[in-house]
Amino acid sequence: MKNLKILRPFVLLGSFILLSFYSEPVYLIRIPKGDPTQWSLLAELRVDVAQELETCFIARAPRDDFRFLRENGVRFAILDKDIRGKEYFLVRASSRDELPELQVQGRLIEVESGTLIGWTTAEDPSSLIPPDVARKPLPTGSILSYLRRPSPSVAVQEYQAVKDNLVQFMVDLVSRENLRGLIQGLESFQTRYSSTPNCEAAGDYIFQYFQALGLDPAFESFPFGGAYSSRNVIADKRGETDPQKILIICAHYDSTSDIPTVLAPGADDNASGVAAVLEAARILRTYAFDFTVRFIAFSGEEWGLYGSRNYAAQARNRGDDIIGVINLDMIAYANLMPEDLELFVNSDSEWLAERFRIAAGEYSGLRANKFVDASMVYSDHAPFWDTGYPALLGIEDGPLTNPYYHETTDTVSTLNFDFFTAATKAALGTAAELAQPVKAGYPRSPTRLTAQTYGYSSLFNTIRTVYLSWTASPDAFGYNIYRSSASHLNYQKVNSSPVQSTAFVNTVLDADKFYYYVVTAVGGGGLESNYSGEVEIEPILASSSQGVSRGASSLEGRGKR
Amino acid sequence: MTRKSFGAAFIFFFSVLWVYPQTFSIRAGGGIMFPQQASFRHVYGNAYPLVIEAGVRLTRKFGISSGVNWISNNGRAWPLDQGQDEFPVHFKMISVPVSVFYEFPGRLGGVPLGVTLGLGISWHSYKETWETFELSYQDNKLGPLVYAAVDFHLFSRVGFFTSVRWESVPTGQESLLGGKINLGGIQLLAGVAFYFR
Repeated sequence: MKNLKILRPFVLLGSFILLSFYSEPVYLIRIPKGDPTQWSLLAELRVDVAQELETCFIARAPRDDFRFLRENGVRFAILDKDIRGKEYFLVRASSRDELPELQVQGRLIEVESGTLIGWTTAEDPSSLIPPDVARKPLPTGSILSYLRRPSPSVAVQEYQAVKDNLVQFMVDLVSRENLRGLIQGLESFQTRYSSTPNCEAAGDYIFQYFQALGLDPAFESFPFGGAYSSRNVIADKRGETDPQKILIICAHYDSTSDIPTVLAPGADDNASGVAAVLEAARILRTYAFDFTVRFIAFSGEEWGLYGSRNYAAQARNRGDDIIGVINLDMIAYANLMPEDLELFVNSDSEWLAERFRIAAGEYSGLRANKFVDASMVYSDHAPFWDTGYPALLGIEDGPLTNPYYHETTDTVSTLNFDFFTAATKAALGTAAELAQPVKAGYPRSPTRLTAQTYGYSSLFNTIRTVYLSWTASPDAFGYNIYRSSASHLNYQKVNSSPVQSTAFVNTVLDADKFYYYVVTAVGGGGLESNYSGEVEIEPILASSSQGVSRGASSLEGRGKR
Repeated sequence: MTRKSFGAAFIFFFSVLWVYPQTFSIRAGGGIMFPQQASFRHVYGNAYPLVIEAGVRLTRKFGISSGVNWISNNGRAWPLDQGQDEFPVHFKMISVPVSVFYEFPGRLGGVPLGVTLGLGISWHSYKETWETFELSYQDNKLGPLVYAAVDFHLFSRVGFFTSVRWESVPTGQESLLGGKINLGGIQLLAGVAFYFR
């Protein structure tokens, strides 16, 4: 008996070790999208949301949280009972039969029409998906903090643009012959499939092109597929007024086919996008802009957006202030003329598509169609969505109609250069407008606009007072303050005459809306600068996660203090 | 709406009086209301209602009553965070209660009195206004009420009354200050009563 007593501490220690190794399994669940208040409810419940799709969220949750979710009215379906040791992919496929290898070694479930989620415990899961099938790995971190209620779309639809003659001058410099030469140059590598030396050589080619333009490019290396690495190529046209604000125009330079390591010319997918980015760099480098224009050629896209995932995650970690991302992927094939350009955005990026759509019509005569579709996640804009940055995908068709897509026959001879030139002009015009050309004789835009808001509530109504401040602009005689309920669109002046100081207080009476402010400097002769960077005012939500009910409130004018 | 309601109440009572020419009383008074909801108290504190009511006995102890109840209060918007600004707000509510009551006659120190228990329904029209903005909210709702009153018949036609009344005014709206808004509470009222037989 005495010997048994001696054993007690060891038994206790053993139990403790066993307990520490045990961890509760985490489930993969599908949450159907509900009304707009669901956004804040998920945030309040701290649900680990991994992916937003058009009709649902994909989330991770331990079983203990299920009752909590149900009690709060969150409906969900279990997709997988234990996520440990697995890698998940979203796959765009017309049927499960397209993915026989993944079906054998893992599982495949349709989460919404046209979107499958697959998983496997294989060491290199990407190799189980045929190289010509579009895929997106599920983010390992939560995207919850970047989820927001959709912005009101009414204001977006009413956007009226003002054509800028300087931007038109830049757009008119786009050269069809340059574009053709760039595509031929990229096609000449035979394949640009990531993991091949040819892909790295194509990266060098892009790097040297930027260098020849007088830019100062850089490589950004990233690992992928277990044993490989590749490089993004990045070059900046630094902003003159507020260089911390960055507009990105990007495309992936890697390619694929059914024999990707041997032959994948990828003229449309995606030498076209890269050529547009390089042509934009050639033209925009000679002009001065308020904000930095960043040109990026990503690699690893066809493997699962590895280059852009790496870049977007690092940008978020650095706290980069990215205004928007214009991702061009397959913009040179026209199944019939006149061909339209399709713009895919999530709800937070709708403004970007609207600005692109209007600029396309204004500067290049191209018709662009806007689609708000969070399920279109199979190109390099998607990692920016996952990290809370506005981004759009510009693509010739959705669904694709190019019969040479991911084929060895995707060559320059199949492309339509009328459409391609117009698409490039549209992208360049949008980028130039958003980066804001600096014009001689005009005052510089104010910088470092910040906003502090305070909310006040009576029984039935809530208001916010917004305290704005900014850094003075040289040669400014005063400032104008503009406000909108849609980001980057339809700003309305809120002051009656130019403000002399660098601070302003404004009261907004609709507490459950987003508001956006910008400031301009007014110089001699009444000339007005470009807009400053934008600040966002978030809505005040009731503690019960219900939006503020407006009832029969009348909001008849702007308040005064 | 308010004018129509007054008119309807007026016609109703005089019709009743004409059909049942029995005891008729008019009461006028005021008092204090303790709002039941914390957010109401935060913004406006206690309210001070004024009341004019008419009652008619249909039998010796059973009758009906109606009138007008008026509340007007000033308050200030409550900061939701660290804000230091002052935003005055104003609240007014006009209520038209209709109730049935049962009266127990009695005496206290030689003074005849009547103890009344009543219940009914009240129509409330309310409006909240921000005084420095053109921002307001108005609506109307029905709510239940119960009360107990004591009438001291000091003279044959004039007396004194006191009552305690509970009203609930669910608005169906949520307040950022917390919970669903109910404008009701407990009222302590007192005033003069006139009796016509």
